[in-house]
Amino acid sequence: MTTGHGVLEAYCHRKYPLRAVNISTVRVQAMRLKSNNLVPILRADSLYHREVRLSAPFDIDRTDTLHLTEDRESIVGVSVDDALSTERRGAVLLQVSSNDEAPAPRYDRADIQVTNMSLTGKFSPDGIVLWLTTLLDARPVANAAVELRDDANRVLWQGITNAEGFAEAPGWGSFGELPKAPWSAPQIWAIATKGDDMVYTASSWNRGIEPYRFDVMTDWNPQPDHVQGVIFTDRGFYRPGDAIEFKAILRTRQGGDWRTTSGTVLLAIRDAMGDRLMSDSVVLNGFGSASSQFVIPPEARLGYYSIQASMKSTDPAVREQVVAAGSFRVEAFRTGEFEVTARAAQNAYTLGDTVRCTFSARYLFGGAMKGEPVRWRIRYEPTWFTPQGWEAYACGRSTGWYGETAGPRTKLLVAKDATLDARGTLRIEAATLVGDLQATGTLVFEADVTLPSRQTLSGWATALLHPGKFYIGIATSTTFIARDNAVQYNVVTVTPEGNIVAGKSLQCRVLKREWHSIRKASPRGGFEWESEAVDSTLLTTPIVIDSLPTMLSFTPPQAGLYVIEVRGTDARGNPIVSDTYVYARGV
Amino acid sequence: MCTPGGYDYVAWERTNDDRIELIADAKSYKPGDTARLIVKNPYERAVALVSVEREGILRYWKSTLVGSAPELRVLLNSTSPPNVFVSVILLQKRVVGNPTLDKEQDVGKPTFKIGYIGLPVDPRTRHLVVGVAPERNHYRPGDTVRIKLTVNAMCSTRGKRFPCTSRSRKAACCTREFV
Repeated sequence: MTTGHGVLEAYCHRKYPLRAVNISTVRVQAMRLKSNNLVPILRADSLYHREVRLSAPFDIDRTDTLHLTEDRESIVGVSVDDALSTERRGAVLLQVSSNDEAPAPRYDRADIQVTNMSLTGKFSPDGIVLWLTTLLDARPVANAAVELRDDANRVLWQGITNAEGFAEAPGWGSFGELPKAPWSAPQIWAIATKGDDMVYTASSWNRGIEPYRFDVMTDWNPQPDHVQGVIFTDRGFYRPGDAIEFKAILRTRQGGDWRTTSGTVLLAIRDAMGDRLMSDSVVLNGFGSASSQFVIPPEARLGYYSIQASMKSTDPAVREQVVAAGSFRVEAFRTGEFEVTARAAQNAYTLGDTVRCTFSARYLFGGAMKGEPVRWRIRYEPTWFTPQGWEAYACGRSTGWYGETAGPRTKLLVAKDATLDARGTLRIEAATLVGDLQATGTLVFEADVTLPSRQTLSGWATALLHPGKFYIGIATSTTFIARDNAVQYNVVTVTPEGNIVAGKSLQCRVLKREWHSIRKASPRGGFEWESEAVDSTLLTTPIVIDSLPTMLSFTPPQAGLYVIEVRGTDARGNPIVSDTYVYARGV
Repeated sequence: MCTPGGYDYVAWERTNDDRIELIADAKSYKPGDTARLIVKNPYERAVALVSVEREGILRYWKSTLVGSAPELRVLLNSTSPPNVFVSVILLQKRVVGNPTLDKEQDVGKPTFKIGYIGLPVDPRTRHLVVGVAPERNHYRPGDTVRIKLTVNAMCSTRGKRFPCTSRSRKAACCTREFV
């Protein structure tokens, strides 16, 4: 049986599914949950532990006989009607166990809301919004009683839903609720009742839809009013005996807005073993910042040090609260005895060119590093590039913007060992292959020089690598349009320097992208979606670019995602491709 | 393919969770702009709770979204910078009766989907442009290095820079390139 939280639509069969094989009977126990007892029951940590038997005063205790085919898994329905109201609605805690002998008895439990209502809640320290709708037709439920409770079953707030099914409550910060741990928010329970129907939800019930899944940054420890900030040192790397300058900048969140923090802050430094080396109370200035200095003792431990700013906590259970934290390293290191520099022969190359770079290494006292070993390499890193003056145009593939995930990757083009010449220099060159890389990239020339004393230092230089002698630019009149409206777009061919290249023959294609999806039975049970992007060509237009951008258009016949793709080839044979997208909305 | 109401059907990518994607019409906005969002709606028709959020719920409203690619408009105001998050929760009513006991097969059951998108809102004011300029490019050991620190604010109306008129506190540090 699926344990945990469940919902049964009150207007349907009201039977909770149970998968069973070779079991003749099950013991069914059920308890009616009401607004005043559900929190203490549901918040128990071991409620859904299958090995634990719950000895609660169940309203129903019966034995159901199962009529199963031998050795075949079947789904049977466990009725909860006799634990519900006369209208067959309400919430129950169901415990099902097998009466057949088993080496390890198992007690499956679920809290089941048998209802025609759905409660959606948004919880924050500053405000809570509840939305009550029907399950059957998703209509608002007006004039329903709603209440908020905390884990201690204290009623925090009561209200009534409006005509749209909304109820707006103050944030949990106004009820004096505080997080129990630095990585959590207080759990708030919302309960809505109308007649004999009742639904509930809790602020922590967000599994699968946590904010991070939407790339939304979230505060794991939200608080009603709190101080937050940064603390940093002048460097990140010190020797024992060095002096450290450090600074904290703090802001206070109050009433949903950020203000400059005032008061006294405790600045503290701990060494790699966590021993406090320094603590200093500093009054914040008018900018909400404070700074201090510290000299690392010559005998100090090596390793990672922490630096913290703390202030008096608003939580009476916690005296001090860390409001900013950082780190730095204390190590016994040698300063560089030499330097390595790199200089690319050109700022930019085109695919098919031979690229060149010169590395030089010299001692800081002035001598050339003659004959020292060098390990050098050239890497390609994809980058964005738009010729100057054509920033409104999409140049290159718009990978990642409309569902693409696989784009060009960093690639090691060449890596070799060599020796510095008599002047401490090394000139290298490497050929790039036509058509090998199809996106603009940064060429990174790197060299590592190692002394006999095993000190290794590196030097590097970069140059742009264009995928061809020209770029194709596409500019659309809009990225959003209603279907059946024409999308105009300009196509241009320009050199990397931004000068128009006339006379280039190109192929323009407009693609409609859709996903073909099927639901497949999963080996883990249940069903899973499999989606595959499929492009269908709406139209193809061959064009020859003039001395001005060429205007084209197409009309999306349906809502959806459309990709405009333009291809060409430069004189070396490098394929040039650019694309952009347009979303067409429904009417 | 068209739905009976005349709204297009778009076969968006389907995933094994309750998330949907929201698409914004711009990479960033400024106060006073109206952000236009396409909701990749898997339902033919759904009621939606739309909320604008940032460290709490700034405003919310109910909406009805029809078709696979409905457009939502969100007005961005003076409190929107530096960013807001728009959340859309879609509720789908029961669309097919006679549910079976096998929940996986009950494709007509009431369901929900949720989408979030962050909208950067650049006020084009309150930007501090900090400049660090030494008097010379080369110094010898023992020389005194004089550095000019400047702080400018960006004008909100004409896009021009002018000296910051309010107080500013500057901190500078000088370190060796070789740690």
